Amino acid sequence: MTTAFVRQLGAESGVQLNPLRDNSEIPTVGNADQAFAIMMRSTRGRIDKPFKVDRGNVFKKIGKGEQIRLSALNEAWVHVVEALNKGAYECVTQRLVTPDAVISWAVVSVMPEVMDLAFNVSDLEPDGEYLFAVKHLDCFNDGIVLECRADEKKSGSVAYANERITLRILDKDGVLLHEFYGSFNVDAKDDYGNSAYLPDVALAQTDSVEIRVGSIGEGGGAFIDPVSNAYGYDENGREKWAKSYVMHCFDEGGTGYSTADYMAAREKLQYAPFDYAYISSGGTQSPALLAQLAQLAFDTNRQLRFDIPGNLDPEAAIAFLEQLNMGASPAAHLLHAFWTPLKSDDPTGINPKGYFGSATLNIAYACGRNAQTNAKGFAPKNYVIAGREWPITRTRITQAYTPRDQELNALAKAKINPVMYESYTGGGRYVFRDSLTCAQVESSLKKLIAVADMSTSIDDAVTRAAKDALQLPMEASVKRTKDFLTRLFEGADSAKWLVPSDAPEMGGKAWMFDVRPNEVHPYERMDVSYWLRYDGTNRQTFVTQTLTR
Amino acid sequence: MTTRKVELGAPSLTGKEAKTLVAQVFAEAKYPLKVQVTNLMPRDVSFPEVDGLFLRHCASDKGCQAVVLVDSHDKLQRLASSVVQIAELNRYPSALVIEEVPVAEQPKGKGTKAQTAAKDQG
Repeated sequence: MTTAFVRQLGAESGVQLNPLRDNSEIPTVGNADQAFAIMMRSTRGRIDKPFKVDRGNVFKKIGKGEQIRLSALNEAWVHVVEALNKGAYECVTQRLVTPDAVISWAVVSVMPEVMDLAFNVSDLEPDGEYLFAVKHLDCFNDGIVLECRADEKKSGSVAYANERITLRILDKDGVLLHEFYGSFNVDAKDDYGNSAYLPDVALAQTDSVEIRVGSIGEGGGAFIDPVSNAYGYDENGREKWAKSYVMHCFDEGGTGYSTADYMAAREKLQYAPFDYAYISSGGTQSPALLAQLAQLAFDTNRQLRFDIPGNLDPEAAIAFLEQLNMGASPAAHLLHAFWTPLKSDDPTGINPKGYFGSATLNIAYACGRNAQTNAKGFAPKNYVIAGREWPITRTRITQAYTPRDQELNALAKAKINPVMYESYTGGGRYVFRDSLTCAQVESSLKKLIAVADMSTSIDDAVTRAAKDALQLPMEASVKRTKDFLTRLFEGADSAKWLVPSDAPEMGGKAWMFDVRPNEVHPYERMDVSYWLRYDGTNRQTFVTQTLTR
Repeated sequence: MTTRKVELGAPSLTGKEAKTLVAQVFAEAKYPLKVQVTNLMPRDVSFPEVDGLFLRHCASDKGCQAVVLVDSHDKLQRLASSVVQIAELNRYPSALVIEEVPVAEQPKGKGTKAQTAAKDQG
């Protein structure tokens, strides 16, 4: 094929074709507002960094759950599973651990003379004679199983030792987690010239497994001997696999979490490469953990929805919230408290009937709602997850405490949203009765969860666009940001997020913005300001009938 | 016989780290452990992870003390973490006293109502 152009033209005659210039890009936000973050105790999951969980892999990634009667910390697992099944697209999880947590090595060695493989667990990095060792960073409390075999390697009908093996890592129930085919020889290559060295093969497939290759015998090196129980085929022609017992290679080191442990988890979630719009408390009863989550909400401008234990009466529930002093937080509008004095069946089926928080379920409903965007990409976030349209979809619900009117008043003043039975047209149901943020305001949009949902979405979109405009020439940056804000606010207006303002400076408009280079630092700083009048939520209706003649 | 006792407060004011303090004092304790908890803060507090614990403010004649059953050292550590967090947020140098109830007063025989409740709480 001959081309009619060159990429770079010198002094010669010819045609230079420049790279395609793309001015068509429209900033988009993806589906981060359908995901939530949580820090929780689980029986599986890596401990060094956050990871994503969805409804397809939740059992594999965070375990099969343990009963709440063993530890109240296990409620978080119920929340995550329920949320993923009821609207949340994925969950960014940071596992809670103490400094005493230990990840051990699963060491495979060779028994002298019989040459069969032997398995054992070692806290220390293996040393001395061993075949290979595996470090499983997904940290299963319930243990892992190793299986490995080498194919026959024959020359002239004589079987020779083989350095290439197939290694499988399974969970205790035999579910395959990883399979690697690689060599103990550091110079081994595959058909494409890539390294076939077993540790490199594992590294290329996953960052959950580390492998070390050792050496055996007097001559050194690592190999599977023809007489080994992991070599070739048995007398029936079936593959011979050496299989370990269930190896417990992870000890979570107890659950006596200190504030430092919660802080460490918070930092990992803050700097995670994954995006999320909500933070769940996972039904924690720990004020220390809640305080860290509130800090995370402030640092990331994400909404924290948390539970106040349903077995507390209103007075204790109010004390639980007030001791955290959340109203004083500069991000109090991002903190949303739910009190669910309801007993129900466990939505996951592993616990008996009991108290289960509903804040994560509220998040799940919000994630499901956010998936339904209009033509301009706006979800109906002006419709808050509360009231008649969002019933609690659990079975055998019974209300353990029915607050009096004065108690409901006290709960609302304390910014706690009760979740309880209410009667509506078409029958009663258990609902999120209110939608208040923890902001200590009386008559302000800041008190409404719907406004927190919309304003954080707008903030997120604007800051992302502003970041895209960094390092551009100032004039181009200002123009680009102005164009973006115009399109964004027109979209928010058409989605009914905004309504005309009656503030004099707004002149009857629903939105205004100002983008300009900073007066004092005009060469490097750009100021972006915007004023929006969000639509409110009807929380209270006053009805009066007047009799006339 | 001396009973184990620890007073918790904001670490930034007391200079004492709660986890170490609790570990030192209750290192040899046997669980489940019956403890008396006394609120020294001028506010009502709630620590539901330990037996639904709710304590009134320190000026209250009744209700600023409670006896609860702690079923593990981990749970005691988490309680201490929560107490110092509240103390730190509100700048209280003295927040709460946790004191072991002498063995003679500990429940004997099969589980009491309090023990059962503590187990249900997890």
